[in-house]
Amino acid sequence: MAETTPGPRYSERSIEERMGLLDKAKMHAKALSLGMLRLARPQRITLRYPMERPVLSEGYRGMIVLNNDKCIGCSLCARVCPAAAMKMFNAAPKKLRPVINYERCIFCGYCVDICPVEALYHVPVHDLVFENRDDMVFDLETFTKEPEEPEHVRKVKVVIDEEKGLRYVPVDSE
Amino acid sequence: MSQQSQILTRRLDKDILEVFIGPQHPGSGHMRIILRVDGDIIVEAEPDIGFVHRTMEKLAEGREWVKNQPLFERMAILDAANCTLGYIMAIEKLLGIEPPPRAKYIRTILAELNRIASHLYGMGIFAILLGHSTMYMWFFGDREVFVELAERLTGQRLTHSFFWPGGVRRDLPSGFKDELEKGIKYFEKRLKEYEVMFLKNPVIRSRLEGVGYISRQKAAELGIVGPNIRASGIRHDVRIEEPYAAYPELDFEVPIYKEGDALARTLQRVDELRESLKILRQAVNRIPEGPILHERYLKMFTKVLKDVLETEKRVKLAPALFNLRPPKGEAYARVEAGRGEYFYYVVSDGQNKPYRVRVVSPSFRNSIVFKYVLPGHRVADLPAIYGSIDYFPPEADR
Repeated sequence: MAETTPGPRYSERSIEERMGLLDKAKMHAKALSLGMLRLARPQRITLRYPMERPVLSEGYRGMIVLNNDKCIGCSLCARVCPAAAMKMFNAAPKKLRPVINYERCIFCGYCVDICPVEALYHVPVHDLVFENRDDMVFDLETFTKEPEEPEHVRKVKVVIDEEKGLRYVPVDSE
Repeated sequence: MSQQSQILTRRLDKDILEVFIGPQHPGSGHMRIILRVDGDIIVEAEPDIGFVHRTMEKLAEGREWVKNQPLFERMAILDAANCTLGYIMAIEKLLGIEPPPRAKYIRTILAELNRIASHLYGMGIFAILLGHSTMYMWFFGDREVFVELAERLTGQRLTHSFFWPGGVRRDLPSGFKDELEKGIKYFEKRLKEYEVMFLKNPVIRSRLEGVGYISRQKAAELGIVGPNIRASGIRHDVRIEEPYAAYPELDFEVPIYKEGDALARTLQRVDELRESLKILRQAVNRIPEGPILHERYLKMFTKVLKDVLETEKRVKLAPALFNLRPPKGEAYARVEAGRGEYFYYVVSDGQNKPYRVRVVSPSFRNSIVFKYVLPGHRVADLPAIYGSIDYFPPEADR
């Protein structure tokens, strides 16, 4: 059983015997004391979300913005979209441009990845609010503008921590 | 009603009540269990699945090969990497290519991050079904660490869509190794707390011990998979039986429990979490340098695509990958996901869309358990059994 051969292998294990009365009492006490400890020193990772927002990681696949000057109108993005969220239209004669419908977009980033000229890019925003469904269908003007972060939002940086799991460090807005 | 099966503890007569559990959302998707109860004892149970059926196999026939990845991901959104990896591996078999070693390691890292997140999700649901809301919060809170890590690697919390045939979409971000190590250290500490709060808690023990027993023979007969069959003493893990990605090069154990009850299944999952941490630590330390996409497609990269790969370490989708036309033929691939074995059978007729994709998901195979395990138990044991099976309806229904 005590082989130390490297590589994946099975290992048979078994549950220890049923707990006696004394063990049970001990484990009850332990669980309660751990509960009390966590009451005093909570392991809280709650974020007061709409007011506090995490800085999204580098390379986060957020909302998509079009750089109209770079776009060559090849319509690969519209063809690759798995949710049919992106459509091409004639911005001017012989000038195709994509527009996006955020009702359908699944943020897979295929369009950004297939663009041969890097005209599409992600911005670290994923939670815009729309007042009605028509607003979710972007036209060329809104699609080429980077969405703005609402005001009065405290930005926090998410840090992975050995003690607390996740820690939020406020980022001071300049 | 179908013919009476042998597991009936009593003939159905007018004292028997029919109780419909569901189809509400017990925490993991819509499903219904039709119970026939005599007083408090379940005499017959019928799992009634299909409430979240989305015709995925048919939909897959109308989309280009790579476009199916975001689709299949939606079977088990919390285990997205594992459930799409099989599909991508099947395509690679059709194409006759192998991803480069570094890509294999990155796949392994993401698959294990997903396995941890998926187990923690399942156990969180399990805890709340048992009425232990503290553990529910703890499991879900700690899952956040691994979801965050996956986000840093892939750019998306859950729907990673992370693989290309022949590689992965992104390289490891800088500093990922240290962050992962911190996450692992934190989680190792937490595993000790889980033991006190949940696994050795006398209240939990008394609700799980001897409940929902599946014998070794029954488990084999029903053909269940994943942690559930391993908790019944059967040695079955695709990572060992048919190694894929970087697993054959790593040193880890797959725990096997003989007891086969709800407690064994719970301990099984926690032990698998420990092994996953071991795999992650090894994978991130041993990861070789090199390309992350097969050279056949790297050759087709234009200058812009190469620049992005070099500066941002992001593999763009070369049109050749999008217009993939695998040669005529069929292939299959198996993957060990959080809940068990995923099986993909793919047929290509040489077109840019699959001719047929067949998916056998682990939850579908596990759903039959309810019919054979519930009878004889009290209705109050139902949450314990349901939770310990870690059944995920959207995965079963597809």
